[in-house]
Amino acid sequence: MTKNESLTQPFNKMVLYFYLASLNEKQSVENAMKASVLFQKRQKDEKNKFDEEVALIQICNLLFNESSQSINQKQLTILNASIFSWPDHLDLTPWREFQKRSSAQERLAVLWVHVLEISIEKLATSLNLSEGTIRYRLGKGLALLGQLNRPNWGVI
Amino acid sequence: MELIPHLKKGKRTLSEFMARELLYDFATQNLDPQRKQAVQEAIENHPNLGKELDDILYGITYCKHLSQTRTKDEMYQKMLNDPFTFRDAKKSLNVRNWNAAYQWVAETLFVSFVFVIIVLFVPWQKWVYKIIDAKKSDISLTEMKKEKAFRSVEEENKIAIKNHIEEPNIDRKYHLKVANPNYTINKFQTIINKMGASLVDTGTANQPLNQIDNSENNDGKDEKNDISKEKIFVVSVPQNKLDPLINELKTHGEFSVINMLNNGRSQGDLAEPKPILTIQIVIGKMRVNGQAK
Repeated sequence: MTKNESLTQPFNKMVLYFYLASLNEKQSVENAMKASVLFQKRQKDEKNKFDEEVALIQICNLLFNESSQSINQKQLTILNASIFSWPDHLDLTPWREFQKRSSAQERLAVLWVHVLEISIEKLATSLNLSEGTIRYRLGKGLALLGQLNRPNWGVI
Repeated sequence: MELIPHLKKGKRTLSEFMARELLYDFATQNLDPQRKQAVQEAIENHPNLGKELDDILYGITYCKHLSQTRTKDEMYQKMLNDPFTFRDAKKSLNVRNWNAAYQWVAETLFVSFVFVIIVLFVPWQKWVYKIIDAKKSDISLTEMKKEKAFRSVEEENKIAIKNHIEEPNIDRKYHLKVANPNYTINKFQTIINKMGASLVDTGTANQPLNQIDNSENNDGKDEKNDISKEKIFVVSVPQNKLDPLINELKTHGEFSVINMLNNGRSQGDLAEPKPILTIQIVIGKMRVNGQAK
């Protein structure tokens, strides 16, 4: 599947971000809707100074931190969420395992950079971190994810 | 940046630790040629690094595959058309989503409200009385009627007159000095009868005053003046006949009201003890031996 223009839309990124971050379909939709409202409000306030990616990262990170305390591992969806059109031959099992075994920092770094295709520079600026820190987290996270994905990659 | 060779071999090798830190950049091809070569040599020297590099590459490939996920259009439209504010408000009303401090406050207020409602509207008194009745103890409430302490003036006079009539109060004494020592009470009695009064003691009515020994009726306070010669008669007369009686008595002699401080004796009386007639006038009827007269 080629890159769809809809992915560039902030709302799609928000929904995917929250879903892959929490694996809770209901909460991800609610958070995405909250984030979209905050995103639009910020867009109106900042106008010319508005940076879409920076605003997206900061808003989603804020809402995720607020809702992360209420995430219950038992409420994680086993089946893929129905609100998405999943790529062919994609298995979320490695990702679910990755969520259990990795830290939130590594997981979110991988999610932003390699899933949502945000640049490392933007991510570092948004989170007020150094690029080296982001790269370090990415290396750790991807190594774990690859290790989990190694035996069953691409198999439904 | 060029590596500074300080070893004898002229080339600085990258340690496994440092190589591991540069594996991600090596996988994403963000290293300069020298570092890239150093990392590559380190990977050749350390098989673990090669394994980790493969893991990183697998992870990157998986993420690329995952990034192809799209939101369904109908779901997307549904979410856009969903009244977000209503859902948000609905969710915000859910107490479970509140902050812990706010939850505590809400719970406290709710419990307090329920407690107040129970205290105010539950009929506790009925239950208490039922318990008391169950113990067979009686509570009776009586209304104490207080007598009217205040009476009108007319009522007071009526009561006073009634009391005077039923139980006469002997509180008036009059002296009647008669000029004639042979004055008898018999004459006095005629007047009394005419006035509607009655003489209580008529035993000595026919005797002259100077022959009546009424010493036992005196209280003996003033022995020097020979009170034993004082004659005392008790006369009962109705209230409306008192003034006519007095006016009549005045015609019989020197009539005066007794001064009770010195037993009714004036200085003149003390100097000249004379037989005088003491009349005790009782307003109303006097009871003698239980009979009204």
